[in-house]
Amino acid sequence: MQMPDMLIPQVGVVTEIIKETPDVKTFRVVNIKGNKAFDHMPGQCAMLSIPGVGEAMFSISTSPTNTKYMDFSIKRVGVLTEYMHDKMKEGDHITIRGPYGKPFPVDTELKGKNILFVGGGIALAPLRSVIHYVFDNREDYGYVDILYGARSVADLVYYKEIEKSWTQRRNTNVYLTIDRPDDEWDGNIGFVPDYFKKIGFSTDKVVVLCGPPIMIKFVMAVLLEMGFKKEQVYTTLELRMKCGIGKCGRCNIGDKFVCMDGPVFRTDELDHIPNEF
Amino acid sequence: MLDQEKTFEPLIVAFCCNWCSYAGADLAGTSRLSYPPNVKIIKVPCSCRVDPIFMLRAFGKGADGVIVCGCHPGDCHYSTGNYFTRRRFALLFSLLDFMGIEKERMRLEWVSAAESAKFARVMNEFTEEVTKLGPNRRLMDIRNLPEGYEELGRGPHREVLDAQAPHARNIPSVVKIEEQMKARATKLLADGVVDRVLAWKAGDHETMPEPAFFDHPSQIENMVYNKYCAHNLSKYLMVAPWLGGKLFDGSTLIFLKPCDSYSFNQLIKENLINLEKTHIIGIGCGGTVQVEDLEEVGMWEKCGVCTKIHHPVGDEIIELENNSPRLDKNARFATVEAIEALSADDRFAFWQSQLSKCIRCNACRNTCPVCNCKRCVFSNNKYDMASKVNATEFEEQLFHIVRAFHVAGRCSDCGECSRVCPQDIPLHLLNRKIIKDINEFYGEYQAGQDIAAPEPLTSFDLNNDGQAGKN
Amino acid sequence: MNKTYKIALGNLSKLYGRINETQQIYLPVRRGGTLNFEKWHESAVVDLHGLKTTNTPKDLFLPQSEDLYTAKMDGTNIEIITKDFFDNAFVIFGVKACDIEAIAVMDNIYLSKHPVDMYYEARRKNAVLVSLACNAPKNACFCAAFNIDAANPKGDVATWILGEYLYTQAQNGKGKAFVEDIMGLFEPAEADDLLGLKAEIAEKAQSLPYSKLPLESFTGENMMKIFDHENWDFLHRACIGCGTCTYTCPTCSCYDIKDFDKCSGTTRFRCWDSCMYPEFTLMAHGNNRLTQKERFRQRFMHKLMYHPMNYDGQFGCVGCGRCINKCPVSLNIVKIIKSLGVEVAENANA
Repeated sequence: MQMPDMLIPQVGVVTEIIKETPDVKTFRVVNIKGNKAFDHMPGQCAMLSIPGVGEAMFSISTSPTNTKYMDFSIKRVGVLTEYMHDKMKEGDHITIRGPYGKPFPVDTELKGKNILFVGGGIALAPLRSVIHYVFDNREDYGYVDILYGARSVADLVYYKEIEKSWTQRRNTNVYLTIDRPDDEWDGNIGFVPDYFKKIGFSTDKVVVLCGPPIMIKFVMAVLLEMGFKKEQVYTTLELRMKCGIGKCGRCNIGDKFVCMDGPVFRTDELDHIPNEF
Repeated sequence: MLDQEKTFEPLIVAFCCNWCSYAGADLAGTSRLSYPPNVKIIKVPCSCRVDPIFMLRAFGKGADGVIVCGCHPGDCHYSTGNYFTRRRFALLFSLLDFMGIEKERMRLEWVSAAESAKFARVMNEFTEEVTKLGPNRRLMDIRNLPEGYEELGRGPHREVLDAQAPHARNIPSVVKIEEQMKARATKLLADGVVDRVLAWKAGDHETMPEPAFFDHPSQIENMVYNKYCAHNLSKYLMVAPWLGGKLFDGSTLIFLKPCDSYSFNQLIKENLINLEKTHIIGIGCGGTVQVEDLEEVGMWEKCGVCTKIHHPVGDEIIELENNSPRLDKNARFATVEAIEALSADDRFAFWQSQLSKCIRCNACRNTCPVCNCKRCVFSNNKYDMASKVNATEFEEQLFHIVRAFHVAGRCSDCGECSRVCPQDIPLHLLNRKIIKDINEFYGEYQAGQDIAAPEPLTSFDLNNDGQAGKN
Repeated sequence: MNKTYKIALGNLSKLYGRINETQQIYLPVRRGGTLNFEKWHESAVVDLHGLKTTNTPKDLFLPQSEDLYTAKMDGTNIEIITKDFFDNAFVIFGVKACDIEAIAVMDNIYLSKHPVDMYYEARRKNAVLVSLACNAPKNACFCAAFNIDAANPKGDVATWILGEYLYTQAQNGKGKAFVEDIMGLFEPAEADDLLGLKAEIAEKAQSLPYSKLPLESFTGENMMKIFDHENWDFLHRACIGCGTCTYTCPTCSCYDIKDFDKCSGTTRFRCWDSCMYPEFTLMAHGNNRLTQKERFRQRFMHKLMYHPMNYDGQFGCVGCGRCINKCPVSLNIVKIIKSLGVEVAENANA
């Protein structure tokens, strides 16, 4: 039997659905035999689909060091995600193909460095993969700072995990912020870029940045103002994708195909392509 | 073979109005009147709710017959819904018949809530009739047609095709009003009456002028007007939703050929043009020509049979020197009549050979002045719809039937759909068939002629409609 | 030097019939008033003298719509039923030099980078390309601008129409095997017979109005300069956002993947898509190309800049001229090249 084409998915099973926030759920996926569907690297994505509903690209939010399953933290925004949020039950089938895209350079450019993660809202999902990878290979990396913000306490994805596990790690600082005041919140209140400025990080680190475009724009400004270079900052883009293998053409920007040359980009690379992302 | 025919059980879809025939079906059940189990009922709030898409979609998904049941004329729960249904389906059935599709497979019936016996009788009759016809082949995936259907492509319909060839012998009149147009455009721009001009700009080759906006008197020298300016400019003044961009706030001068002015007037009627910010100059037209490889091939068919020499709308008119009607009024229906005269098999073969060429580029839709929905029903990704090539070839048929139907009564016969079709499908013949039917069933009507005149599909005649187009 | 053979034009239908015995043969057929590549059958109206087909040979490698697999749903359980890859040998006869070059562009996109497109590959390796020189290139042709030789088309087998004969030469091993198989119908000929015709075609192709275009500025370092050029503001203005240019383009290769409920299961299929459509980049959270200007620019930037940057300077346009003939509003790639190419070059010199 010939190898199937990259467009043919395998059938997976959703073993667990975890409600993270009012509009984000984490879907835990294994293949039909109960194993992890395929190997991947942090930052890579997979195509999930319900036949008859749709197919879309999601970033894998578990680390490669997790050999049992993959998590996908998904916000309810479109046709497919509405179905997954509203109709899907644990034990349901889903189709999955991948992995797609270029991962974060965890074994090269990030290795041995201090790392600062900056995330906003649902964008912690792709970062979580790297964060777990770093925690699981702790000796290979220096200090870790995590700055994460969301609209409200309820909108902080992985909040329990952050409190219980991330903050307990050695050589790790976690900074959380929410946009609006809340009675149950004694932490910082304000937008991520402002909080960033307030904390004032030193520039001896690599930055992994992911969030809504407006947040990225303002954090970038703060970063540059504080003396960071664009070569130190990595981010990941989101565009409409169909094939995942650089053929169908819709994620093409400049001479890059986001599904093949990205989604992870070093921010200085983005200066050389048209601003259409 | 005979055995197979005996065991053929058709699938019948019945769209029943909630207020009459659905209750009629209920009553038939409680009265123990039997009707065939082949009939699957779909309840609708009014027979008028049934869009032609519903019927075609049912066929595409495997129905062998479709019946629409509504209240008797005069009894509509919403007063007038079924009058519209009546006109709509008279035209649809006639159009499908024109395409060689058995019209016996579809029916419109009036069944009241009390007429359980009639409901059962109608369903029995219809099921029997469809059983006799056999499985639906023509309104399904053409690729799944049994062997032999392909061979239909060789009948007398070839002659009809030849009649579609460019009208090489018709020579367009020489048009010499370009300088006058430029002068007016320059003046109106300079005087500040308008902020921009919509006309044609010289291309890099004489045969390649393109629609363009001019914002400044100095640009007017690039303006041209000649026999290559076939493009209908009407739609550019409507904000085409798919083009995006910003709404223009100033006023615009638009030049309209006679046929364009009918489309434009229709847009005015549909409240899609801000007349206060529009200055219209009607311009004479001597006919436009088809160009291939930068060479003139002959006059467009639409110009060859054109009778429109006046402008139903316009602030000014720049006439040609010799303006006289070129042909008798009904010459444009000659090809439609030629197709009507063919056998059903040949009509089907003709349309199959044409529509199977479609590549779903949407040029016909995007250029059509009355295809002006904010969001096209085919741009809806749900329900297997697509604005591109679909998984079955039936979808291409469906697209063109539905498109022709959605512009019924609004199409002014500008012929742009056929002009822009890269595969040279004579799409305008579908629209012309509908226009011809409207004229015959409900009296002469020219879309875009008079913005006060009632439109044929949104009006009705209590006394006469019953006879017209009865299937 | 490959051997030359010839066959009388009158005997061509015999030739088609002979090829048809073992494999399907597609060639320019006039049907319903239009010239397209279609499967040959005895009553097909073959027209080798027509200049261009409306649809391009890409249809045979990347069909307008192609089923990928069927997903059978049992409640929420899914079963994927794949289908076999295409595996029938076929011949495409009468492909012009520009379209042959376009297949090379498509090969680059679909086959040169891992992972390859296996649907495309399956069709591609089953095909024999028989090219045909253009005896009479017309005004809208500009293959010469891309250094494509209309007189010496590539492909597995090349053919020429000279007088009452069709001349043929195998171009590679695949072509040789194909010609040997049908040798019985041919007679030997001299390659020199063709010299006059070739010179005539070359001269004609060079003298056409669009044969020389200012393409020098379309290089990687000018990408942002051309992308940001103000001329896009009016170049796109007449565009009505249809997909005619994309679908009749021999090198446009973008596709969409969609579902269709065929009642017996959900068919996932892929179909041609167009970057001119607003739905192309529309996703749940918005669209990154909001106006037609951006979509229009993307198409031409891809052909003239992005593709050459990724594939060693190979342009994504082969000068077939279909967009010149087919655009509803007389826009085309030549207008773009002329407008931007000249101005960017002038600015560079200034």
